[in-house]
Amino acid sequence: MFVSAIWHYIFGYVIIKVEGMSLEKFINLCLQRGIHLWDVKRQSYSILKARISIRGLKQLISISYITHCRIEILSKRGLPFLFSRLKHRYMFIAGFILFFVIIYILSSFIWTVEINGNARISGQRILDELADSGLKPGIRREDLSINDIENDMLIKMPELSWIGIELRGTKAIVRIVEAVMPPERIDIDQPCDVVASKDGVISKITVMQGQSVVKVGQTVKKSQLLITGVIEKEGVDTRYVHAMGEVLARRWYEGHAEAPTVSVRKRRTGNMMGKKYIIIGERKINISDPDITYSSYDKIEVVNISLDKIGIPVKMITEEYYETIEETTTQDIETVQKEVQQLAIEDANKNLPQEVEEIADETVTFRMNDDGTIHADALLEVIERIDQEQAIQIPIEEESNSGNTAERR
Amino acid sequence: MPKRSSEQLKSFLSGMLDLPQDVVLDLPRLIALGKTQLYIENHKGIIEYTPERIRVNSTIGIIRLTGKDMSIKTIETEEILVSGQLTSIEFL
Repeated sequence: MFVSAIWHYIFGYVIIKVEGMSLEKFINLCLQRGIHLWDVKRQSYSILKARISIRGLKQLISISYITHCRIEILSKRGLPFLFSRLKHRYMFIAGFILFFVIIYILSSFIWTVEINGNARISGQRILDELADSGLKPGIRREDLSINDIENDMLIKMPELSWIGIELRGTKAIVRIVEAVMPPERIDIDQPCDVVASKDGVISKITVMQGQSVVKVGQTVKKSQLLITGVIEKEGVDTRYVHAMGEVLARRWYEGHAEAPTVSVRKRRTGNMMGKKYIIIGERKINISDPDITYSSYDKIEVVNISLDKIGIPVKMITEEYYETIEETTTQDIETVQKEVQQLAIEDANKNLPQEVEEIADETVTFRMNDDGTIHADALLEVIERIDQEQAIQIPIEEESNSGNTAERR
Repeated sequence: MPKRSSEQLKSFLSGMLDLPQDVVLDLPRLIALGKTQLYIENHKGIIEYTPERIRVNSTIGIIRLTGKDMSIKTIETEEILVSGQLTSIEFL
């Protein structure tokens, strides 16, 4: 019935009133001509109301002559009549079309550029470079050649290892993967020093060129000179060399973790009480309002009936109170310790740099807090390379023929 | 009575060959949904239509429906759907 109602609405129908003496004859003639009538209601002996399609209405005229009936149109329904009414409202139709045109035009531009995946490179720099390559807000989607922009960006920015541009509606999502940059190497012909990149205790020095200025076991600070490229000997001119070598140092990384040994859990006893009320607008009307005698409880609000969906602010609510008791469980200290140890080491591992020669030692110390939690401190002792090359600024002598003076900056 | 014998032949054949009788014999098919809706297929027109009484012509004679507040929901060349408070269906 519903489907046919929609069908009739789309093609349009009229409600007609037929007045005459031989209404049965009228109906039979309609049947003969194949005119579909529905919702036929006999109002009185001489009056009949029915619904009829627009096409059928045109054929009715001859029938009304034959049966001497007077046909009156009571109302017109359906889309065809709606459209015919719109025919005269040009501005309305123009606005309607303009709306879709504007939507279409606006959606053919890129309005936002989103950048994902950058950690070291600033988003603004990437945006600037993208704008330079041709991707910026306000550009037409059709004018974009994503492949070219991607290639262009990869050539322009060597610190990117991959870039992917995806257009989603009016938004361009740029995903990047940053390249891991190799450490800056100084040309082999250029004199340089080797300095510490991090703090640490020297555990091994292998000098390939230059002269070491620190000893094994010595504590060094970051950027402290380790191997010098300035060779000074009495009586001989100072030479500048490209110092090279491998310096390993002991370093320590910390990690912490905590876990409780006593856990408190709420458990329902199975006793339950309920409150019921109705909320009308701001007002609250209690239906049943017993005093809750439980010392601790879980409260759950159940909305039984809500007329909010149909716009009436009336709700019937049941509040359920479940009595609870607290249960404390003490866990085995050893198992908790094991867990905490694991967590602390994991925490310390997070701080480790990517390249580590060796993990020399792992120590975990435990501490029991007053509130029953176990605190673990993990200390990882690792051996890693800390050498880093640093160019030497050779003082330029004004008198070029005189011997170089040993002066370093 | 040649007409009679042809009717009998048709009836016999449809029974033998398992053909539906309403198709072979051109009979009206009535489907009543409780006492509120009645569906008549293969009718031959309306003779009388008032909210209290509807008479429909068919090949087997007149079908008279009586009831209250009856109205014709749809009417087409082959079928009629009557709804309302039906009290009786009579074949005259």
